[in-house]
Amino acid sequence: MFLHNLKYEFLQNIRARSLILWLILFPIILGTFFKVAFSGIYETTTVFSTVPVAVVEKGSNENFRQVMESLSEGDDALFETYYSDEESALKLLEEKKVSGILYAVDEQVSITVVSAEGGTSAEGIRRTIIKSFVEQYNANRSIIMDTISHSPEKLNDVVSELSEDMKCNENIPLTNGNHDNMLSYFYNLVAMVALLGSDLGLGIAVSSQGNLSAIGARKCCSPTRKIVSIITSMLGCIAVQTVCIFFSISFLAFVLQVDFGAKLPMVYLAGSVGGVLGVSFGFAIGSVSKLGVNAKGTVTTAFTLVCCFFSGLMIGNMKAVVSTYAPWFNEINPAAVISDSLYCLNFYDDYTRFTQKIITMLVMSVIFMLIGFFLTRRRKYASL
Amino acid sequence: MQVFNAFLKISKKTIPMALIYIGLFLVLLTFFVDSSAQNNTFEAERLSVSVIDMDNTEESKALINFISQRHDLVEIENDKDTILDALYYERTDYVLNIQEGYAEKLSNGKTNELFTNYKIPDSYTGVFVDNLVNQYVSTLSAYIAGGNNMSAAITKTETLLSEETAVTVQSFSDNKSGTEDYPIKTAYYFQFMAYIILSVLITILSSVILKINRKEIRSRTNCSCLTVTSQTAQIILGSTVVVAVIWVIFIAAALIMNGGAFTEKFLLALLNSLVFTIISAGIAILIAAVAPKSNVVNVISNIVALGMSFLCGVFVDQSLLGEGVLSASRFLPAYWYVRANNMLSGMSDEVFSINSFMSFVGIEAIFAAALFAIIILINKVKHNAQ
Repeated sequence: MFLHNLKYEFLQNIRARSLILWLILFPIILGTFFKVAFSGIYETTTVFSTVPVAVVEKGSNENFRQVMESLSEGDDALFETYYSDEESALKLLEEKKVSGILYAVDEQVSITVVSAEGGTSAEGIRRTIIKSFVEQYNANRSIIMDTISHSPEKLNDVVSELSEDMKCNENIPLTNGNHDNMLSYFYNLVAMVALLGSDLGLGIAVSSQGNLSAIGARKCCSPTRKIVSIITSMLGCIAVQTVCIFFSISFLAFVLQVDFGAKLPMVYLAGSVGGVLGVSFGFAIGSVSKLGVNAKGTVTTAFTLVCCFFSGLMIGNMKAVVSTYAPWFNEINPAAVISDSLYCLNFYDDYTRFTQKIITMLVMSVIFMLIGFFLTRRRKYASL
Repeated sequence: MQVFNAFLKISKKTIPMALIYIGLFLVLLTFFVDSSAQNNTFEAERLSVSVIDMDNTEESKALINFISQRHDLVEIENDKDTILDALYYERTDYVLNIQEGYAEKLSNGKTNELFTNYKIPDSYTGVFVDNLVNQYVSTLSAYIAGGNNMSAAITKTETLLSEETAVTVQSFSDNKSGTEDYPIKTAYYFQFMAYIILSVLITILSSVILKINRKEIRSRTNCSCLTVTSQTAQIILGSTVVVAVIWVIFIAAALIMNGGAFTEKFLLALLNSLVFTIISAGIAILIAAVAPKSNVVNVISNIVALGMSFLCGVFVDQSLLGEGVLSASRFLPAYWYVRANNMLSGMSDEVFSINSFMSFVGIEAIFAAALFAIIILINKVKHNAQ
């Protein structure tokens, strides 16, 4: 009986093409939109590139020019310098070709930047880098002046300290993973695809309830044990959902070239377990009360959206906000758990946290399934 | 008016479902507004820096004090995973670890390996804090080399580095984000409303229309003497009532957020949102006309609402999206809605002028007209096919 049911579940799922088609189209379309919309955001807002500045000189500025030249050379140059007159410098500033103008009047340096309103935070930081450079320049100048007037014999020591290449601060790399925080949008997209499996799970409940569908009525009067019929439905849906997830992740990883890190097979695993979570969630909601099919559909969709919202699908740093105010919510929000598992794969070398997330997903799935089983068992209809 | 009456009857049945949906989205909307408004007023120059002090001396405390005057100190556990999470989710921008022996090395004139740090590699924030720390150590060691004792050197360094360089701020337009008659929060409310109204309308309106288009009901209506145009018109009229009710609910919430003031800009924002709501209704009706089943509508609603919102700058500011994306999203109505709203609030570089605002709204109106023309056409074709 079990195999017989399983066979027809598969057939039934495969023939209900429209939903599956859209489940597959969803990540393709949105993933492409994400890729198009976000390409370059990380590079322009986060990754450091040289700061373009215009320099307007009056009088003699030999030292300043020397410093600017040394800072504008080489691969790790801080500035990209344009020497010009005031008028064209202002024009460059207005056209946003430079982040600021340095006025050097007889070695005294002052700055002009564009109004701070609007713009990205990277622009704000570029302005501040210019400002702190000028402060440092003026500070060094006054240290040297101070030394000349008080203890000129120590001038050489002071100058050598000031011009020494600093090696006081060593960076420790934390991970070999991809740091692009736009990735979290793709993690959440996978989470959303997984949770959209709740639409499939809803179908299990609907097709086992006599008052909601004709097929449910037929199943109610068959001698097959309900648990057998539901488990086969569940397996059928999970199989279909896994195919959808595999398809989505493959599309994101190979067509859109989203960098999920070096452990791609584990990404598939995480996605599939997430899919099981989605299906069992839909099954649980579908089994609650005697709501109509549409109302249940709305509840599952709304729930999926809310979970994804708090996990950062719409606003990237939402999860960080949640973790400041209610960190426990990130541990139980299905979308956050799924996207976190992908994040752990990218960032951590060991699998401890990843395993934790996978176990959380499995436990949640079991809880949802049990809720569904208990609510649908022994449901009888006097008349339909 | 039979079709119209039937429409309202079906709509009434969806009220509980609609209320859940609208309620939930209003909650999301407040979260949206709060977190975005925070982002916008955040002073970019002040970063979040975490310091782990392994040295714990007067000198190291002086450095922490120096950093805290310029940046916000964020406490953090000295644990690699916690630090990694905090950096990725931007709770902190930079973690500086003052090594044991910092004070001793400094007093001996050594500046090597005083600190270690964790940061997002190659980031602006990283370069910025690196520079600050280097500047501090370089100045301090120069003073020590100049014959000052440690405490004098620290005091001098602090005084010297806190001399602010005067910065001239050149303003090319007198744009300011958020004004009194149209505060930034209200502006964000309207921006996110584009996504919300689209999803709510597609979900609610489409499900009603799908019901009224069910085969049995459709066939019954078709064999009556009503013309197709009259049927479509009645459905549109019915939709208008439903849409108007939903719009009023969201506007009432916006009004509460705006402190109950009907300012001129608020009224313009109302106009903008009204036109966009009509577009959203058109999209909802169109989806219902082509969608095969109600469970598919949910997925399509997500694709359309999320996709359009991402491409048109509802979630991510238009200024961050590339030129290529923006030139493509010009063909989507939400782009003009967001652009008009940004101009109204001064969140973009565009200077507000009533003429260009009206032209943006006009473009939206053209989208709406085109949508309804397509709807009428599809219904005609479908009817003839039947």
